[in-house]
Amino acid sequence: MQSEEENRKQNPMTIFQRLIREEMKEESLSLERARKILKQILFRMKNEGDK
Amino acid sequence: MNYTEEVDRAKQGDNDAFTFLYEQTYQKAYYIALKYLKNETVAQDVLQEAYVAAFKSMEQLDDPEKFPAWLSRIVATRSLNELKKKNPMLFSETENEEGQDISETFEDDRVDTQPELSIDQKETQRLIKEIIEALSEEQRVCITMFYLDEMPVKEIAEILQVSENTVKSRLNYGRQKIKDKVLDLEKKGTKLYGLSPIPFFLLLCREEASAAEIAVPAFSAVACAEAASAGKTILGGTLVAGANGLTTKIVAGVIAGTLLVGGGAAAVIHSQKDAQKDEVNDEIPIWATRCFEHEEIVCGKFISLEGYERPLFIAIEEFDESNHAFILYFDEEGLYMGYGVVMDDNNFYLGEYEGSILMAWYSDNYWESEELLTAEQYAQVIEDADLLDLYIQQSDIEKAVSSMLSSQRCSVDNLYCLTLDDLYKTAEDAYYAWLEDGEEEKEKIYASRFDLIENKENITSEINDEIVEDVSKETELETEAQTESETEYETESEQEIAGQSEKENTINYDISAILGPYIIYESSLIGENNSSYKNMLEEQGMSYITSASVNGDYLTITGSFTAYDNFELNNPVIIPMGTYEIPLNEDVYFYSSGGQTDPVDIDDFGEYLEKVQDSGLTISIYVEDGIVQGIGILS
Repeated sequence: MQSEEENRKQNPMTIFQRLIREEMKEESLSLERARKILKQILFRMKNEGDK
Repeated sequence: MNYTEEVDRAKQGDNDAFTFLYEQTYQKAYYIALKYLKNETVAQDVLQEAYVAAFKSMEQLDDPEKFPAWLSRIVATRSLNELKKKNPMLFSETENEEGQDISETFEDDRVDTQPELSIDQKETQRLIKEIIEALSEEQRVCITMFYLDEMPVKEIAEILQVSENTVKSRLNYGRQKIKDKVLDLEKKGTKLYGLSPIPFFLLLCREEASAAEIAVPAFSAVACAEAASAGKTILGGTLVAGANGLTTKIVAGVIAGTLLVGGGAAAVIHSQKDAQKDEVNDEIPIWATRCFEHEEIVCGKFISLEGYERPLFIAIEEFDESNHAFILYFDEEGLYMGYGVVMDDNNFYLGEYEGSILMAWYSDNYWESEELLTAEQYAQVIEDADLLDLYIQQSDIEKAVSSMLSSQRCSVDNLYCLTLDDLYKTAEDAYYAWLEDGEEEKEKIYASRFDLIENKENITSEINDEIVEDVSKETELETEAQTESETEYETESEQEIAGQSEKENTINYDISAILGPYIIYESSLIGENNSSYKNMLEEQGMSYITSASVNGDYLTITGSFTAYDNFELNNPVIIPMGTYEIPLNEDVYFYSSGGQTDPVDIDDFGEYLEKVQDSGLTISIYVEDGIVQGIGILS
């Protein structure tokens, strides 16, 4: 008999919820890249707002 | 997380607030963009555009706490637009610049630490790729929007400009496909839960509750889940019941890249059943595709009937801004013939009568019905290719049903109802929906019974009985006429006599008590001796008035009425032929749009009515609290 915990672990949903969390970490933007994008966003907000 | 304050500051143009909102959300937003676009550079560009667009339109955000979800939708919409512009790469196009499949280039950095998880890597890669390729682009987009972006079905439908049912169908089918494959892998010993981080495209069911919401679309309903739990065959393959069965509100991820596993344990074998399923997925039969060959057909649905080799097709053509309903039958070559009619509303009703299926719909202000071909007739059609004869003669049953539906003696309430939203816009959607739900739907259609009253001669008297009983209950005042009426119907012969002399009866009671305080009565105006017009109205189940006059404080009317308890003119009820007296409000108003523009003095009402009878005009009487408030003559 599998334990409840074991069943939960083997639940496809549990599997893929964990997988997506892991992948999100894997595929996240680097901090450096994220900051560059933010700078560009802020620059455009200011620039386009001034027009 | 408290977004309210930051959103308020952002609305003032505060850079710190923009920074805060960005930092809280960019990981997920980027992930969403990447899932759509599969290209880091493009995803980052879209991310930037989405944030700028969001920050510039903060005023449109009603609930600041929903900023993350709102932003996700903007990202998704912009990604989708980008995808359309760029002619998206298909799942199968996972080759790099050198023509090498990128799924084979990922390194397995965890296998060494998890040797017990090793299986045949290439075979697993092939299976995962198979899962991805089983999903159409439309299904991938729908599932991403629903599970990852948490968009409601309605919103997805609006963005993709398809019906909500199409979205539900794509979600259902995509989920089912994923789950089949996932469970299949599990069953064959692939320990997916032990896999290390991998590049994959994910379709995720975030929580059972939200999945349950869309797992039960109209009509396809629980069919899929029920069929699965019962071990029924769907899509040419038997669904594999997992530890949680298919009632588990799926699941799943689809891995777009590779699984990081090595050799060692048992290889996963791609079963013949899967191959068959894939074959079905890839090949839509010609008869299904031909249903949509006509440009005018905007949507349709396949329905299965007992004994049929192929399903019938309910189709809607849009022509002159009207919806025309067609029922199409196919022969082996995919040719078809149909019967079409203009629809007044969006509903079809299907029900069984003595083994035959009758279809009903509202058209030109009265009910149409058609008896669908039996399997034997259908076979004959195939053999003779002599289709037209089957449609020219309307059966007695059809006539009876149409008439009884119009006179409210045959309710549609217990019939199987399809609306336009339940139909599909592409052959693919319609075909797959039929594969999934056709059998279950067929059972429901056969379980929807027409409650026919075949002896039409008794109908009028039966209505009278009911009306009289209702009035008695409502008012607790038994009039002399009511007593007479009930007494008359104690024996069959007396009932027959009563039916024959119906129009001579005078029923003096407040008919407003039948329905409620606010009522609109409508009837056509005809002369007492205009039998041809009268016959036509009777055939169509329409009410008519032969005379009306104002006598003191009462409006006296002889005729039958269609009564509505609301101004939208819904739920009509036929008030049977009789003479009725209804009190008049002293300030009763009269109006006419039937060529008479000047107000008519109520005292001249009878005289005016005589002039306009037989002119095709309709009289409308507005009754409130049992008193006539207004009378109108309308064209």
